[in-house]
Amino acid sequence: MQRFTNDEIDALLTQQTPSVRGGDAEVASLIADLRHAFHPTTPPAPTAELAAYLDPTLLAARLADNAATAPIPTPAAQPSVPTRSAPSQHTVRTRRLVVWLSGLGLAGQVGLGATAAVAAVAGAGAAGALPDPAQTVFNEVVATLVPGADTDTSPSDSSDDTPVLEDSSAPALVTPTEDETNKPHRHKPTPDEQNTPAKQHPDSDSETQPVVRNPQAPSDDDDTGVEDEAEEQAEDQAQEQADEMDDTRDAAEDQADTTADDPDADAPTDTVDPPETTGGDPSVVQNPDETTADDALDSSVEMTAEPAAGDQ
Amino acid sequence: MDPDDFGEVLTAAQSGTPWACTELWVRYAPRVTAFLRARGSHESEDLTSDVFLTVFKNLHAFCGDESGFRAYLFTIARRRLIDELRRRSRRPTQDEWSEAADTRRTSSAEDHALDQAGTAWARDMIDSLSPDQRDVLLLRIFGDLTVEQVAEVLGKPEGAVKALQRRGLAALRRKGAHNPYPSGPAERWQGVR
Repeated sequence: MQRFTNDEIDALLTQQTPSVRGGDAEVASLIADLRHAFHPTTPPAPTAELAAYLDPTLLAARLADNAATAPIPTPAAQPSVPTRSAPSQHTVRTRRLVVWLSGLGLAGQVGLGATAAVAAVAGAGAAGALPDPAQTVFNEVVATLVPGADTDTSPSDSSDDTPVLEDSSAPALVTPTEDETNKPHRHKPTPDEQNTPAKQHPDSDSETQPVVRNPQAPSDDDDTGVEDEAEEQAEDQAQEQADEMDDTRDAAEDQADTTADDPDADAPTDTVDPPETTGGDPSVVQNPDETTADDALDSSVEMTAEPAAGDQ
Repeated sequence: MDPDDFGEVLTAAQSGTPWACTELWVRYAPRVTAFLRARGSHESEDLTSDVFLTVFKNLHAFCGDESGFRAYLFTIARRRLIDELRRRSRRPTQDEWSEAADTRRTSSAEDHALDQAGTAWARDMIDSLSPDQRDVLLLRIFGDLTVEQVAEVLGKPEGAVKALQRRGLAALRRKGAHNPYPSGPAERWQGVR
């Protein structure tokens, strides 16, 4: 590989590249790339301090001249700017529609407009959205042209689409709403239920216990035509539940009465007493299984604690 | 006043005339920016303004012709560049995003890939040189300075500058033989031959 001569170096570095020998084309292309990559076509924007030394009018004019006469730089040499995005498909369709409309003749445009107006009036009339006099005329015209057509398009009071079950004995068809299906729904107690507490574990908190909803009971949010029937059915079922609870309560009271005679049952349960021998006291119920008073009390707590004051 | 007459422009600029200063800015600022960019400045535009601010403030003391003015201009530019490089070496800086500097945006992915390949290749080639070789070649390419002027700017003997540019071009020729990116200019030059 030959050494560069001074003339060749000067030719390479002073933009006389085509005159260099063919073997140095790579170096020439590199230098050309450097010029294109780093050399801006216009001076950068001066800082505010430097702008005080410059003539803004002349600067703008010179920049415009440079921009007009400068060769088109490669994209890499100039700052990349976001390109204008291609028009959207909607815009293209709109443009085509406008061009097509403008290409129609006068008669075509009038006819197209009249067709659109008729279609709009017909649609409004079918929907019953016309003013009353116009709607009346529209109904008459439709009744004349279409025999047997129901032209009563006045909005009905029962605008809901929920089918109304005519058979009151049939179970009400209640479609639970999304909220109802996702969250546990608290059953609204009837007055009887309020006085009759449900049987539950003594340690449980009634406020935190999820209440299993009767699937056939209507929800408070139901706003359908079967609401009354559903409510009646729910009340019936609630009454049945209340009756069952009353039976259970009575049974508990009966069993509690059998243990109420035991004086040890009222003894404090904080301390565990050893099993007592009752001796010959006939009023004390012998505990053959050696259960303590606590055990006896525990077995009766669930039943004796149930009755509410309202039921007494 | 003839704006094409450098002597008149220089005289007017030395007295602080705005049109003359504007003429010097429009004529030479792109060259300075290109040199600073190619040399690795991250603030080439601000640095260019800084260079011309210094020139305008001290222009009354300048005496010389147009080539001497270019040598004077690039001397200040190189000093400012060294200051920036030292500053960056001491304190790493975070570059704010700018739309112009964001090379991820382009009008055409294909054109961008080709141009980026050419630019990246050119920058890789320049960065592979030693700093002195880089300075000599870039001052000669963008400043259109003679060997004597480059020697004056760098504070080196002319023989050293000649040796640096010869070795630099030889290194580029060796590396250029393995150019994986046939860029646009290369194809142009091949068409010229």
